[in-house]
Amino acid sequence: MLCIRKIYAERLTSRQGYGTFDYMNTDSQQTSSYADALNDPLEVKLRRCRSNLALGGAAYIVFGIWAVIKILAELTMEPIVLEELLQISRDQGFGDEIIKPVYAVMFAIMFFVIIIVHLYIGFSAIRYSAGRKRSFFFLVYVAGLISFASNDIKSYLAKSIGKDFFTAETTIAAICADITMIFLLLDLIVCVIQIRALKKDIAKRGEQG
Amino acid sequence: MQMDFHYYATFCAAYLAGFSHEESLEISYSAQLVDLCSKTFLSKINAPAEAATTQLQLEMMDAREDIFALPEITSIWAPFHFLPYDLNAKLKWRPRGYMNKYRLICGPNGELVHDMIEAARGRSLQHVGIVMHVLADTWAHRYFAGTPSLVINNTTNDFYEIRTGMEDQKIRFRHSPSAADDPEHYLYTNSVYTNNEHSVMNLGHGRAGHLPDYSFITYRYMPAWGQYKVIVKNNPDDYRHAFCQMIYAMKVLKSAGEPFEVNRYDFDAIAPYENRIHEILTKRQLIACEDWKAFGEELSGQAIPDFDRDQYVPVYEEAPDDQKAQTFLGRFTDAAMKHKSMVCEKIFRSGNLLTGLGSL
Repeated sequence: MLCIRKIYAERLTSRQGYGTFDYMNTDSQQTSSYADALNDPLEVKLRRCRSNLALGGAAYIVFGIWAVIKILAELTMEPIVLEELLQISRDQGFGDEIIKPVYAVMFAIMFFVIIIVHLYIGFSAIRYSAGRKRSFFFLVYVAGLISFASNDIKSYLAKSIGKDFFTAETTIAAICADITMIFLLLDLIVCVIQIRALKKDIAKRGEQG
Repeated sequence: MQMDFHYYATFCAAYLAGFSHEESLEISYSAQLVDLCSKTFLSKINAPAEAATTQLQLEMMDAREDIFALPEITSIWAPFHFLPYDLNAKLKWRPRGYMNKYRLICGPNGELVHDMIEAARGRSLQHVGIVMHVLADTWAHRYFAGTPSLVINNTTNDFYEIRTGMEDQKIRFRHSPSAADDPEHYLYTNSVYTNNEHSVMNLGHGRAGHLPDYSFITYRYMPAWGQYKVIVKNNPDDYRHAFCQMIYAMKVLKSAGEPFEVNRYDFDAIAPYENRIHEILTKRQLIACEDWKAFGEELSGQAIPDFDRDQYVPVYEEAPDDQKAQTFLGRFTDAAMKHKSMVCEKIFRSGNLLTGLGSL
């Protein structure tokens, strides 16, 4: 978290773009003029968007842990799911001494990929907010994840129909967590769009001024 | 602010305002004593604890952080070191609890500054010294509140020093109270971040370290209350305004009835010494006692003794109970209680319970 703060923090109040402003004279009039330039409404909005984006990125990294826990919980609390998977391989003629290690490696790779995806998107968002990343290609993955998460919710709802109250309760909790994640991912997209628009407006104003 | 301004610079301001050398010493001694008059000190000399004007670090470490203990902390720090600027500030979409703290943000030239100076009219020199301390601190400690509050007093980690002829330099903080600040390497100490709203780590300008107390530094940072706006704090300019406003205020207090007006400064009084004062304020040093002392001794032609907290203690302790009030410390504690009452009453009447239920 300290590393994340460092990457993001350095650029939050950056003075890049104030090259034409005479910051060498620090008497009170210059100081208040400088403060006015720093606190231009567009600059303030840009800072707010950057802060939201960085916070969203950090939150998404933490959500990676939730994603792994969710799958582990499903496998351990509903062993029938795992049993069904193993039975498919047994029907193919593979013994447990082959199937179990293979499945263990598969799940490990799956968890690793999930964590990597979360880290990639989270750090991309943080680096973009700090101005250290220009490309916003990571939003393509974000859009894909929103689609997956929406399908997840549909499958939760389908599975919970007719189930007992305890199962429904945990399903509701999982749905809430996934809705939060969808909201978070949407916020990342909105923040990046806002940041790009604000930077264009500021650059345009700089050219005119 | 530190001893350099509260003791020596206040002496210079009092002398320029027309007070004699001895009167200026009484005023400046009282101004500096505000930073040292804790409950521990008062209990040692059997003085009333209600007259405490500060809290030592050890006292704050022992302080509770629940809602019943907060008024005790706030009723010391807000009246003496972080005089609120606007007790009736308005912000949209903020709950009552947040607004109570927001309204305690310190700033110069508020209504309380006017009330405080008028309340000191006709009173003792000790009272004048106390209000001079508070007045000076409204400039140095502006933008922070004298109540423990994360949502008001927290800042981001982006502090940059603005220097003439150079790019802004990033200030690095560490959490080592015993290590001295290092201006040459932009290395300073601040309080540890804690997400407890009422932690004493979030009291006053702890998150900015001692930056507000150094007269040479101009810096920018983002406070938690600022809604993503950046504050540019020009200490040399603020300290100059504080000095000139002190001169003006003391001249008003000496006069026969001229009312005190905020946003007025006696720049003419420092005109012959402008370069000298500018040099002292902008010199890169952590404490400017020697320079201010030399300036004060040149002004008055007499030596200024070093500050000794226990200078008036023997007289106070030896005085009979019915005569303690006439001693120096007796007048000081009396003035402290009056000032604290006045400010806490105003805060209470504005609908804010953070300093308790009004006057003592």
